[in-house]
Amino acid sequence: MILSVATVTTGLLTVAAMASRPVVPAEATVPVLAVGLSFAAIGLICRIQLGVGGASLLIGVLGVGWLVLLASASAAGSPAFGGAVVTNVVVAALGHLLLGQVPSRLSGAAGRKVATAGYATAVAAGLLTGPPAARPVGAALVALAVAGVFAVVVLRIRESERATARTALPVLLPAGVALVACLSATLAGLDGDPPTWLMHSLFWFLAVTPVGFLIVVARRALAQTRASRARVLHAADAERRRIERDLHDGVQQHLVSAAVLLDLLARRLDGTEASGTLQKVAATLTGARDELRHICRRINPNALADDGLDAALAELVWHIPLRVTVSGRAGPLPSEAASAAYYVTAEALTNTVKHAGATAAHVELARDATGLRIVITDDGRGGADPARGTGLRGLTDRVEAAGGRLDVRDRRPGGTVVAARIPCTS
Amino acid sequence: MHVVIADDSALMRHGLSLILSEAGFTVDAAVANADDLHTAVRAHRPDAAVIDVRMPPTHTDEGLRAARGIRAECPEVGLLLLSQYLRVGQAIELLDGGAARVGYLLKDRVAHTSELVAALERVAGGGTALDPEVVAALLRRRCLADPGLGTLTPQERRVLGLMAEGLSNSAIATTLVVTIRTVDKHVSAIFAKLGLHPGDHHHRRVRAVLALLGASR
Repeated sequence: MILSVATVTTGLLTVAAMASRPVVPAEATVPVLAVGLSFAAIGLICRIQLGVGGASLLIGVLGVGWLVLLASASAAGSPAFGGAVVTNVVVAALGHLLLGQVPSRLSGAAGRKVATAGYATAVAAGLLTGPPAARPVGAALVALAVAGVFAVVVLRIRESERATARTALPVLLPAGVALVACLSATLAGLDGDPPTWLMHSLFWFLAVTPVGFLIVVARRALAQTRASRARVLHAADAERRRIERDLHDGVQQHLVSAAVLLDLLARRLDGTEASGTLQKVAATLTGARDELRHICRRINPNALADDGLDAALAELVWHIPLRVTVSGRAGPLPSEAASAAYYVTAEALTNTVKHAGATAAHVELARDATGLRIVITDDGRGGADPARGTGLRGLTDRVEAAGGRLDVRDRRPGGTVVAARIPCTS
Repeated sequence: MHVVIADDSALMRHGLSLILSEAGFTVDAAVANADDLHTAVRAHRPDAAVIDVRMPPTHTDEGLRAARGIRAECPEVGLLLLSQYLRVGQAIELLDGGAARVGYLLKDRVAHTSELVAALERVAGGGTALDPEVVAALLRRRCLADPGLGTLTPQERRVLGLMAEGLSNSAIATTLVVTIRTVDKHVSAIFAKLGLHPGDHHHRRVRAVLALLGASR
C-alpha cells in the first residue's frame, strides 16, 4: 500500500515539477510526462494486479531517480557535469537493483556483470559531459555497457524462463529499441547540450526497458498465480474427498450402528409406553442419515470418481428439482477437467433452481481434440452476475485453474447461459 | 425361504447371514465376488439373492452386472441389490429389465432388520423393493415431466411413493398412521388418475413403479 502511494506520488510530483519548472526544454515535455506517468502506472499495476511488492518499490525508487535527473537537467546554467554523474550513478545502482531483481536469479555472477556495466555507464556519462576530447571515449563506453547489459539480461531471461524467441520478444524488442536509441542519442548529442541528450538517452533506457521486464514479470506472476490456484484447488479437492470419506465411513456408520441398537431396543420395548418415543427417535435418526448422505453426495459425488463425468451428470440431474436435459457426451477426461465440468454444471443448476425461477434447463456437452465445451442454459429470468456472490466467482476460479474459460451471460428472450471451455487433450 | 448373499466385506456377509437366519431364511451360500455368486445361484437356485453393488475387482458395479446375468439365466430368482452409495441411475438400470423380483436398497437401511427382511420377502415373492430415495427421485422427475401428476393430492403422492417402494397397503397404512380403508381409497384414486387398470395386488405395485419409470425417459 505504502509503495503504491509512493509510486503515485512520484508520478504526480513529476507532473508538478514540470509545471513549476518552465526551464525544462520544450521538446522534453512529452518524454518527461510519459516517463513520470509510466512509473506511476507500472508501479500501481505491479502492486495491485501482480502483488509484486519488490518491483513496485523499485519502480517508485526509479521514479525518484527520474525526478533527480529532471532537476539536474533542467537547472538552468547549473554545473551539469556533477549533476549528470550523480544521476547516472543513481540510475546505474537502480538498474543494478532492477536487473538483479527481475528475475531474481540474475543476482549473483550475472548481477555483478550488469552492475559493472551500469557503473561503467555512469563513468562514461561523466566523461561525455566533461571535456569535448573525452566524449568519443565516453560514447563508446556507454554503447558497450548498454549492449553488454542487454546481452546478459536477455541471455539470462532466456535461460531462467526457458523462454523461446517469441516469448522473450517483450524484452528483446524494447531492449533493441533502447540500445539503438541510446547509441544514436549519444552520438547525436556529442555536439549538443549534454543535459538534453543525456535526458533523451536515459528516457529511452528508463521508459522502454522496464516495460519489457515488467511484461516478463507479469507473465511469470500470472503463470505462478495460475499454478498456485491449481494447487489450492487440488488440495481443496483432496480435502473434500477426505471429509466425505470421514463422514461416510465414520459418522454415517456410527449412525447406522445407533439405528441397529435402536431397532433392537424398539423390538424389546414393543407395545410399551416408550415405543412411541422410540419411533420418533428412529425417525430423527433416519432424517440425520438422509441429510448426511445428501451432504456427502454434494461434496464428493462418487459417480464422478467411479464412472466419469457423463454418468455423474446423469446422476446429478436426478437430484435437481427441475426439468433438465443433457445432450452430447464428454467421454473419458482427466480428473481435474472432469471435476471442473461437474461442479460448474452442479453450481449452475443449483443457481437456476435457487434464483432463476426457471421451468427447464439444458446441459450441452461437446468434446473435440483440444477440450470440452459445456453449456448450461435455462429459461429463467436471467441476471446472473459473476461479480456478485461467491458461487460463480468460485467457478470461474476453478475453470481458469484448469486452464479454461467461464462465460456467464443473459439470453434472449430470457434465461441464463453459463458456458465453460475446459482444455484437455484426448 | 432360501437366499444367497454376495458381499466382499466379510463383516457384512456374516452380519447379513446372521440377521437373515434369525429371521427364518436359509442362507445357502455367502460369497465375496460375482463369479462365486453365479456359481452359487446355479448350484442352489435360491428364492432370492442379496447382492452388494460394488465388488472386486473394480468395486464399481460388479453386483449390478451380476444381477443382470442372473436375471437372464434364472429369472425366478429375486434380486435385492444393496448399495453403499445412492445411485438412482443404477437403480433405474436394474428396473429396465422389469420391476418384478428386484430391489435396490441403501446399505444403511439394513440397520432396520425388519425393513431388510420385508424387502427381501417382497422381492422373493415377485414384488419390488425400492429405496425411498430412489422413489423420491422418480416421483420428482415424474411430477416435472407430467404436470398432470399435480392432480394427485400430497397424500396420494405419498401413497404412490410408498407403493413404489414396494410396501403393502397395510404397511402403508401403518407408515402413514391411517386405516387400510383410507389407503385403499387413495390407491384407487391414484390408479384412476394415472390411467392404470386395477389388477391383482402385486402387479399393481410393480406397475406403480413402471408408471413412474415410464415418465422418466
